[in-house]
Amino acid sequence: MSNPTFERPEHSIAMWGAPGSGKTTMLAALSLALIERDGPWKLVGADANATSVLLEKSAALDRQEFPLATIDIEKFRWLLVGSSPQQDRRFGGWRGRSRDTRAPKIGLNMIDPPGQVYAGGAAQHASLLQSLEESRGIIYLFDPTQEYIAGDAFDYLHGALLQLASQMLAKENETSGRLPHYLAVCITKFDDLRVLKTATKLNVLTQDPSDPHEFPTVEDADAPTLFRELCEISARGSARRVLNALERFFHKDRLKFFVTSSIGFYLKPGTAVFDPRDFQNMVRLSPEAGRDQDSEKGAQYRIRGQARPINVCEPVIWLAERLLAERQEARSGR
Amino acid sequence: MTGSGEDLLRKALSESIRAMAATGPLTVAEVAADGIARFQLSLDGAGTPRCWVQPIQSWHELIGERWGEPAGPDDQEAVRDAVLRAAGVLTDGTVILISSFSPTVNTDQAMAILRTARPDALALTVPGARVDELISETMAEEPITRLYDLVVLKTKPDTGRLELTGHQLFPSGAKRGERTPVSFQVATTDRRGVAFAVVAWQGRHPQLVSVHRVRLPPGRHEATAELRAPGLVRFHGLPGLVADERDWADLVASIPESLQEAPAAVHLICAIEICGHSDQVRTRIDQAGQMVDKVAASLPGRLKVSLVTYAAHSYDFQVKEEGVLIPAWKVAPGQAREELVGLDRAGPAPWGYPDGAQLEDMLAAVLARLGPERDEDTVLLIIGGRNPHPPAASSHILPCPNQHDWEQLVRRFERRRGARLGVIHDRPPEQAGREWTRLGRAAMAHLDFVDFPALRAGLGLSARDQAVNFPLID
Repeated sequence: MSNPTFERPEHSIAMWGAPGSGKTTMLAALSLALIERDGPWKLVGADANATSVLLEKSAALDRQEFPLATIDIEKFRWLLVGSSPQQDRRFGGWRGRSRDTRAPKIGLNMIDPPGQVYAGGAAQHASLLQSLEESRGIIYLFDPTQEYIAGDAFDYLHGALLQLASQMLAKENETSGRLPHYLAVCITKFDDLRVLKTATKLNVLTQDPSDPHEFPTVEDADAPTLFRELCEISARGSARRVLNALERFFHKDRLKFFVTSSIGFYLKPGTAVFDPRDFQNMVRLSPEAGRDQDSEKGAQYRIRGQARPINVCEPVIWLAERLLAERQEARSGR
Repeated sequence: MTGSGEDLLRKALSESIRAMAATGPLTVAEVAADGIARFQLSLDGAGTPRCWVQPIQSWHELIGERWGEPAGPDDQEAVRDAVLRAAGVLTDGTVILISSFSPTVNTDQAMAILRTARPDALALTVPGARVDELISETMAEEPITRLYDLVVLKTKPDTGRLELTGHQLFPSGAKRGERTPVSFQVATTDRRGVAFAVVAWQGRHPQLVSVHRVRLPPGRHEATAELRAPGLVRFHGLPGLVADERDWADLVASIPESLQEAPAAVHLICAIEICGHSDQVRTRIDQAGQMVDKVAASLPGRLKVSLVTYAAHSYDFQVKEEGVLIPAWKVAPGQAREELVGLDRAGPAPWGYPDGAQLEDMLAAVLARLGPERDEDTVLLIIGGRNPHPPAASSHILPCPNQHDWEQLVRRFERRRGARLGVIHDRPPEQAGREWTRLGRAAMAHLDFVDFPALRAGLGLSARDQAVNFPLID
């Protein structure tokens, strides 16, 4: 069987977050959301195996199941593929200026190993660090509900940041003192009652008038406020250090916050509008159901209604555009 | 014994007994053919004459062979002392000396000694008199000097509290043979029954005269009290009446604060959560059956039972939700028992959503089925473990698909006249959580260790368990 592969892209995005923070579900949600979204970007596998994994995860989400994490998923690579300038002249504003007519491609690495890969023991995870170093865009997933229970987000962040910084900032040509990456901080689980309540309390909820479902949203500008507040509920109180660490290690103008949900809000069948009385889209399964599921052994939750991802494309597209713009600027400067 | 002598003695005894309240104890010394007997009479705390008898001390014991033989001064003194000791006349109070046999050397000498010692004493010679019987009869014939009451309980109209009080049986001056009918009610008692206690009043202080007990079924009863003698009241119409060995203080302490009337008619609704582990569901059904049995036993002919089952909501569009079911409504306890057997055979409902159950739907279904208020007590007993669903998103438990508000429904149920709500929860009360604590505010039990008396008390079904050990008077 042939296993067609894409050429290695010039830039990559790494998805980063503590185990269980929802990276796999976000990958599946991203795949579905990009299809539904009106735009040039699509997500494809860099090879047949990666495509297969992507299909598997997307299909699970479409079946209202949470895709389970795959062992060694960091070995897989996907590509965000845009439209070539000839096909889509909206992109990049390069018309008449570039001879490059190839469709833009950004690598997407799902660094999703089980266990505490970032928390200490960096030497044995050199390849993962190398992957982070090579990526110029990072999606950092912060799961406030997980933080409420485990409170380990800082542990998973800090060790990796120190390792990464020691590798990159020690180089002689590095003068800024900060990591060069663009960082999209994604506050996940916006569909969770506690997260929505916190946003309501902070008065940062808005609504997109063009949204037929009238789902609540949080403007990107208000996302840091929500992030800061959610850090306060950390089980171990260390989450507030996450924000400090991110601001300390990354350029402020390369840092952006997004409030996201991979499954979105529940819409009652037959209705099209968000119901604030009944919107939770995650259902805990009975112990019997968990036992009965051959393919999804150990699954504890399923999705109640159709998955309607919220704000999962925006961080990726923001990063892709930043990286492409940076590349363009570099070429122009040349 | 001559009739006049006996009458004289009877009259003397009667007057002396009546005078005891003022003069103190009465000593009757009988100088008989075979020796000297002594009767010591006094009043007990209730004003009842009591008699202590010193059996006859024979002449031989008293004087040996001294009388009828020449004796020295020392012998005479010894005989005197022995006679006085046996007759017991050297005490305070009134003394009556009776010679109950034809004069002999012994009796004459003894009477002479006693008269000398107590010249104030009334001395009578009544040959052949049965002094002990005369005293006994005279005592019995005496009118009572204090008011006799039956100890009863009354409900204070303003507070509803039970109050220990007296119901007059005989006024002061009543005599042997007088009868007083008594109408009273009996509530539930302990296994020894209701206590019939008679007290005599001295001023404001009652003195216990007698306490008897008898087991009677709850309800209205009639009896007749007969004064057989001072301190002796017999009750007719109470077969099986025996002396009450219960401690008086314990009896009084056992009086409940208020009377819980057994309801006239009770509608017991057992709402059973039938999802979960099969063992657990079976235990819930079994406890419902036990509750039905126990309440039916305490309210014979007055209990109707309804059975309602509920399970888990389905939040999976592919799985059809089975709603609340009412397998039996206002049926006889026996029929409800049969339905419970059927439920047990049917086994548990699908596990479904694990964090909640259709408890709020069940409340809505029960209220809808109950309809307008009726003149009956309605007891809803919920047996389960999962929380009700909130009407809107407010916790990790998904909201009720029918948007029922369980708290509002509980308030609606509790506002009904005669409605009471209790729970048997899978876990102990301290682990049951806020929702079940609210539901079981009146009565809550743990599935594995149901304290049925406590549960029934909380649900107002415990009149039978309440020990009201005294007659009740309106």
